[in-house]
Amino acid sequence: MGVRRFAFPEGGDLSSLLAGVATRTPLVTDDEVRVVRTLYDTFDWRIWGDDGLLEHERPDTPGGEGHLVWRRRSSGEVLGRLEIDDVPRFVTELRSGRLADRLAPVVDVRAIEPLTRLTTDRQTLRMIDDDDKTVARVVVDRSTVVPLDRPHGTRAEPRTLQTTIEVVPVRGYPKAAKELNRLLEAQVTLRPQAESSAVEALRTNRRRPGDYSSKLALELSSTMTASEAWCTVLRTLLAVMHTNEDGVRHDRDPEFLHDYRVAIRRSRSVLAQGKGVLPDAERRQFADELRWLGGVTSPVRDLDVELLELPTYDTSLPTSLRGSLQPLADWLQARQRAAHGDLVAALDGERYRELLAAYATWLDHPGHDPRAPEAAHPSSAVAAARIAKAFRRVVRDGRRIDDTSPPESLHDLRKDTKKLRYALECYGSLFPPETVRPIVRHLKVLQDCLGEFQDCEVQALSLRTAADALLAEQRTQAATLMAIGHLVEHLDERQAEARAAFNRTFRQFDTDEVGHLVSLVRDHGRASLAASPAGREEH
Amino acid sequence: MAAIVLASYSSKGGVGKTAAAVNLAHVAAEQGWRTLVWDLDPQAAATFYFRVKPKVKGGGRALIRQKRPLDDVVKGTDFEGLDLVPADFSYRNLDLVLDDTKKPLRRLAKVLKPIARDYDVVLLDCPPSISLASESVFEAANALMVPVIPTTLSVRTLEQLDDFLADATSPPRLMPFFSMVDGRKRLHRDVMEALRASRTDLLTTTVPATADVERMGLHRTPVTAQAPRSRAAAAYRDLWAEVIATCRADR
Ligand SMILES: Nc1ncnc2c1ncn2[C@@H]1O[C@H](COP(=O)(O)OP(=O)(O)OP(=O)(O)O)[C@@H](O)[C@H]1O
Ligand SMILES: [Mg+2]
Repeated sequence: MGVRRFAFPEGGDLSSLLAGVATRTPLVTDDEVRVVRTLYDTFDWRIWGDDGLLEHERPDTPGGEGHLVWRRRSSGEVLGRLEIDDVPRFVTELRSGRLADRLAPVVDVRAIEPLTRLTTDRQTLRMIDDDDKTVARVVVDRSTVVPLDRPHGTRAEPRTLQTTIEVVPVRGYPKAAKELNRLLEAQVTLRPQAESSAVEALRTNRRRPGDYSSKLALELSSTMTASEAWCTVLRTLLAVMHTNEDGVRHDRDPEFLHDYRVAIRRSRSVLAQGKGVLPDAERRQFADELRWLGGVTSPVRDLDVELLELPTYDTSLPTSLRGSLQPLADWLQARQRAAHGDLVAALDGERYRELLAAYATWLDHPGHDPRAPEAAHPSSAVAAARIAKAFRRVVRDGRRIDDTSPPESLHDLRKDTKKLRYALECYGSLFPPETVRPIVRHLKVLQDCLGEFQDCEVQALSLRTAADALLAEQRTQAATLMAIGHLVEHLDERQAEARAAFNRTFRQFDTDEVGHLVSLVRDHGRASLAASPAGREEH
Repeated sequence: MAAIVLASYSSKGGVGKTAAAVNLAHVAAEQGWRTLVWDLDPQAAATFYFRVKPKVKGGGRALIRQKRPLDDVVKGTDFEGLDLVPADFSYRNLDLVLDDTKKPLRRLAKVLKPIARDYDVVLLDCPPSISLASESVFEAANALMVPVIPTTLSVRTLEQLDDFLADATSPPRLMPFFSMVDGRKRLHRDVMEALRASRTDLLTTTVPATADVERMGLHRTPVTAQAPRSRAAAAYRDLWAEVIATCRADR
């Protein structure tokens, strides 16, 4: 049995209502407490998306102990609690225990950030039995909310939320809660209320639950011209960059930069495939500028990746070497901070400001260019041709790879697969999902294999570089070097496994089934071209 | 992940088993572990402390024969995250009921299994005996918390337990700790010193003999809730930290 919730009308007489209920059944009234509640989630709402709510509750009394409480949003069930006064940015910094263990896979590497703060005056009435045992509770919450996500310099007015009355059952005593529900349902002034005050508070925030996801939400329309579609995609990607920029600047967590960089890479790919669609000079110019920007962000990302790998590295070590990576961690951390400083300087610089301004203006008014003959073609015709072309490249290059091919050939193939993936993600909404989705699913398997192959190589190389540097700076002990040696060996093995799996993985992608799906996309595009004015002219 | 199953066990009576089970459960729940206490003692002391009626529909037989899932008889206590399977007078016949099942030693573990997913920690409060029921507890538990009053007699009880478990194929970890310690007593100090010198599995935390613990029967509340700043409460918190750290390291 779950929590039943009622809304108490504004201006009603709460105390006489409760006194009325108390005449029918034995209720003990606890002292009213004021609780300061802060709601947390990751930037991309991972906790909310997992049907959860994460709340820090602190009684507003001197010496009151704070608790971090994780609940099911739908049922109110408590999934984890932890006594803690200050909530750290990362779940990994929480004291180990149930909450940390179970929340970690939900939020992964993202920071948990405060979203909104409620002050709740809470009155609890307990129904007791003849042993003075609590068998059900009535909890009355009167809350005001102050959003924490206002832009700098703006003041948030506290808002009063709906007063709620909840009947909270105690496990094993269903009759008691039923009795309370019955008594409260009989009160004409009360209405059932679906949402808790915490959820209501989140909904009054500037940022709405689920308003950001690293998945691209693009709905292109087939009535768009290619030029319109391309600009729409690029504007969306530019917006993703804007959305993540603050998190990048303040290094709130590594995912901001990751999403920011993915938006850059997708943009570059879309610009490259915009040849014949977008005016050529600007297209090249912005592609170059975005390449510069991507390069500026690379050092930080590379170090972030290494830092994120450290815990996994540590657990893969033999017990005798565990913990010996600390000098490496310190070294990486220091370099990451320095690299991040450089990145912020670049973002503060003239070149970046001009890029953003000129790029946004251009995307709104790209203009015409005789060297862009496909600009007015139907978006799906051009997109289909680009997807088909990217697919042909993957197949062509993949088939050329055999057991003797150098690693570079696999790295190049990885780039081909990325281009295809971006094309499918950016223009996929123009085609039937049952065609596009299975292609993506098959492609993902191939990308995972190629990614593993390259990541292992890159990580091993970074570790070797780090070892050299640590040695040169005389900042290391034998154990650290041994540990790094162990890791490099392990990465080499993993890379060899990925290499061995490549042929099979590629064959599973290079099938009639996938080829047929791509031909469906291509046919779809050809049909829309034939039906368009541009297509009729050409015939 | 399945719950960590801990038993508060000694074949000797009145050594502080129930006091440990009740207080450690409260500390665990307060720290956010979803905790279940199963009061296996027909005397129902733990059940009494939590103000729950010592009654299980169908009795121990229905639970052991899995006619009724444990889930059905769980009672929420007055504390967030802390639930109880109450004692029942019929538990005095637990040995007979167990003896009547196919694999009596595995039985308790089997009965616990479905519910162990809903909790992080399950604490079994055992009656003082060595019986089929206690053997079934040894099979189900990851560790036995064994309160030892520092007297020569209690030490012998512990040695008997060593001998008994030596024959088991996969015995639970033993976590003996000193209970009801009176630091003013010469005998207590001597026994503790001698035992620490001879065995390595003793927990470092000792639970002092205090009036606060004795008064638990009056308040019907864990001492860690009633008198959180008392010496006894601090000892149970330390004890829990040691127990859980050892269990996590074992995993
Ligand atoms: N640390 C302590 N200080 C003082 N008194 C204690 C302490 N621990 C337990 N007691 C008291 O000793 C008595 C026995 O304790 P408890 O019930 O915990 O032991 P037990 O081993 O569970 O007993 P039984 O074998 O009867 O189940 C109780 O009256 C209890 O209040
Ligand atoms: Mg007892």
